[in-house]
Amino acid sequence: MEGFLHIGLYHFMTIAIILFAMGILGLVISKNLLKILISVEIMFCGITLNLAALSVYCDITHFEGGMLALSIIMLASLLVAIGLVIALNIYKFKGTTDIDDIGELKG
Amino acid sequence: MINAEAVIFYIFVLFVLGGGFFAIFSEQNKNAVTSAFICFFSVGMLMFSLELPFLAVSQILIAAVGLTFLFLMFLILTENKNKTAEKPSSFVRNVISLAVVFLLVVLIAIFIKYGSFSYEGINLNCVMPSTKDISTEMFINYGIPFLFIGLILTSALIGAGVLMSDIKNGKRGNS
Repeated sequence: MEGFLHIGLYHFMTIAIILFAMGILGLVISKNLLKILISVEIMFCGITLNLAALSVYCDITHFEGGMLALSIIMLASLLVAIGLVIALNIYKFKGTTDIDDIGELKG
Repeated sequence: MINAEAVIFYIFVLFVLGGGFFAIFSEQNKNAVTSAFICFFSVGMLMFSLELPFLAVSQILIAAVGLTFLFLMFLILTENKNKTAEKPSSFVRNVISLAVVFLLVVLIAIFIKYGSFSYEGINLNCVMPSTKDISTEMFINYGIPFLFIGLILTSALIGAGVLMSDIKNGKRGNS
């Protein structure tokens, strides 16, 4: 019981791992491009939270992990913006965002 | 003895995990986007609880608000024709995927608990950096990586604009 009440690095890392696993699960079972992008963003959230917790608990200056987490937040937003533009293009040409329908080869 | 810090932490953890769960498993896209916003916002609040306000504000502004706006714009642009696109996935596939991911979580948790990871060096009483310190660090020691990210973001913005203008002008045919 004491371990649950004293919040520490282990708790934040556990949440980060669960978020990352949720993202992987969403990547595997989702068939919609929007949900795939949301799953990738959830994975990035887990990574960011892990870096933030490590920078607080293991870094005296809080700079290294924080800067890396900030970079990851920016790159994740970039990834989602480009992914949404690509998904919009696919929707304009194929009429659907289902990956089973857009994955068919020609010929 | 239950303290307020633990209660607040577990409330936000509930929002993070619940939001992530419903973002993945909800049937409708608008519910998934709303749940994802709750998840991202709660991650930002967890960063506040870690006493990282600069990172938390960045997470809330960029990840939560900005990305939710992008997702909503995508939903508005694709909602009319795509209402029946969501198909139910296979039950066996879902169960196998859930079991594999659960095993992965258990293995990583066992490694963190009993592996070679050391908790030495934890320092909660360190001096918190001010905004001036963060900006100095960002523009001196991390200037080149942030410049590189800025170039990538600018090129992505230009590329997205070119793609959208091609769609509007009809330059890309139905190939």
